[in-house]
Amino acid sequence: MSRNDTKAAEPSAITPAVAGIAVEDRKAAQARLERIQAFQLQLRELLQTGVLDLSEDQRSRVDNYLETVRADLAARFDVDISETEKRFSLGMRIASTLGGLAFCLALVLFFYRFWGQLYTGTQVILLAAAPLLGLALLGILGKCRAARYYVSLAAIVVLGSFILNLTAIGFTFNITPTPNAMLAWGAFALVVAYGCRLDLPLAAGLAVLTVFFSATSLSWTGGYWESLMERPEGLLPGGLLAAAIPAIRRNPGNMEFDPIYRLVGMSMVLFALTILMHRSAFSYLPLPHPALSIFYQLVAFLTAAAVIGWGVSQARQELFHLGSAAFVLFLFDRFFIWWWDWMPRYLFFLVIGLAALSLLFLFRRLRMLGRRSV
Amino acid sequence: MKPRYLIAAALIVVLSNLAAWLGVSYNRSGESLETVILTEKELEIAPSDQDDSSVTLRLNWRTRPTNSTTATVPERSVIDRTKLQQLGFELPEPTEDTQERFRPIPRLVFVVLERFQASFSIVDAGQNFEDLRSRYADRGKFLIVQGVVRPVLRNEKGTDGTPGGKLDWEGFVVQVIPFMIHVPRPYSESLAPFKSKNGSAVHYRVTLCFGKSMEPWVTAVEVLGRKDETLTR
Repeated sequence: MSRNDTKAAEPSAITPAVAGIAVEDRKAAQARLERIQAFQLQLRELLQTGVLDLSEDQRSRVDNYLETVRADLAARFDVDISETEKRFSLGMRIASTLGGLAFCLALVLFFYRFWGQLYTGTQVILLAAAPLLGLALLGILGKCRAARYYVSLAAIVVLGSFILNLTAIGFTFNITPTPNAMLAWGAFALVVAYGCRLDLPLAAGLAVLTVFFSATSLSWTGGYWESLMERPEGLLPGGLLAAAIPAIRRNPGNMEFDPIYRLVGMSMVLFALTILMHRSAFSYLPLPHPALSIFYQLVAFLTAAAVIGWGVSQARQELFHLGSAAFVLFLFDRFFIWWWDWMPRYLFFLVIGLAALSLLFLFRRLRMLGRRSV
Repeated sequence: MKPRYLIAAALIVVLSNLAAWLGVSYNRSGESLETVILTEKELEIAPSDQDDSSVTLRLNWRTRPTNSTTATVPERSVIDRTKLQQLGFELPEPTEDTQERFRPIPRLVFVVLERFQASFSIVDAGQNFEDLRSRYADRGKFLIVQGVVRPVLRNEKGTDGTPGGKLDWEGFVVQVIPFMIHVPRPYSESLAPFKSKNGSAVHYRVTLCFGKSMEPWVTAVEVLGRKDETLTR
């Protein structure tokens, strides 16, 4: 369960190339390792073709330096040093996520199976103790420098136990449902995410906090907060704020989680627009129905296009993929609504095929533009 | 996980539990707002399988039965347009496309339940508990709880049964809070054997208190006997 599964001997001295990487920033270390591997391959090719000529001494010094950095990165960070390791990593990430969810379910079902036999005081103590014990376990795993998959699995269980904690307390005391529990869950997920350097709790925490702000703003207008999906515009400020955090925060050095902020933030925005383009009656805006519906269709398409543009201009792969997926879905959704009922089926699918061809053409053009800008 | 993150996360857990406990203490402090005794007719045992060992009671409520005299006019709600406006809803003049362009958001208000045959019926709603209690003072007959009211557009059918008549707003209670009431030990012990049968096999009385936040709790359960015994007698 330690780093070699993952753990390797600590190097005696940190190379200057590695010294600049924060010990928690595994992603930066992985990126550095991949750049070194690509450089080594390219160097070998240049030497073999005779484009570059290095003396034995120079070659040996370069090789030694690169190998030292590589070994240093492999020892200090839980990085994948080959394609095979990467594939195993992906498998382990999936296993740890599914395992975490399964443990959560086991915990919830175990509690519900026996809680009726417990007195209220015992229930309350056990419910509050579960996430605290989970946090202690996370602390121990951190001290043992356990592999991130085990930490990820444990973090999911700890989040699940805290959700169970407040949910069951609410049920036990017949508390009127409020969105405030989501504030606690969101904040807790963010702290766990930063403490363990994990993507999934961060994404969950951001999504829950966005929903919390939407529900709270709805209750401020007098509406019942559980109807928050009937006013999806409430998700827009939280989503936009989450997406903007990497650009506005004070410490530009820690960029490890930036893609998650952008991805979750813009996903929430696009999700809200998806609802609004279908049901303009769900809007806060007091505009007449057809105009509002058209307005939100335009906003949805323009936002998806803007996300693509943002992804292309700043080389943000996650944004490009999100924007492209949203744009294609919006387009096909509109085609279905406009034409499915009256168009012959063969013609409908012909139009869909032509639209897909047009999109291919458009994306190729965008790719070319991207190349030119590089 | 670094100690500062561990401490921050533990603080969130402790503070949220403390906030919940303070809320419960406030609700149950002092005199209870309401104390009612309900039977299995109004508060039935919610069925649950062996994966849930708790005992939960379900408030048996429905909208008021129709008082209309003609079959072509469906059941009307007791919450009409004027009442909806008193509850704080801002509703536009209904037209043919209102449903398309406007969907009012439900509100959390107080609703008055009246004991009617084997369940509760909704007879009124308001924003002020004291005002409602003064108007429905008979505590043995009326129970006041929180409820979620949703305005819907009603299209009255004409005499030939087709829509196209007068359009108007009506409010419907879509949720009573709390709908489910947890029964803690030791009160749950006498009801637990009847869980799987949806409580249909037993007569019982439950004393329920409502606190300052209108959150109820069980203070007594009295099992009066099995229904099959009653039948035999």
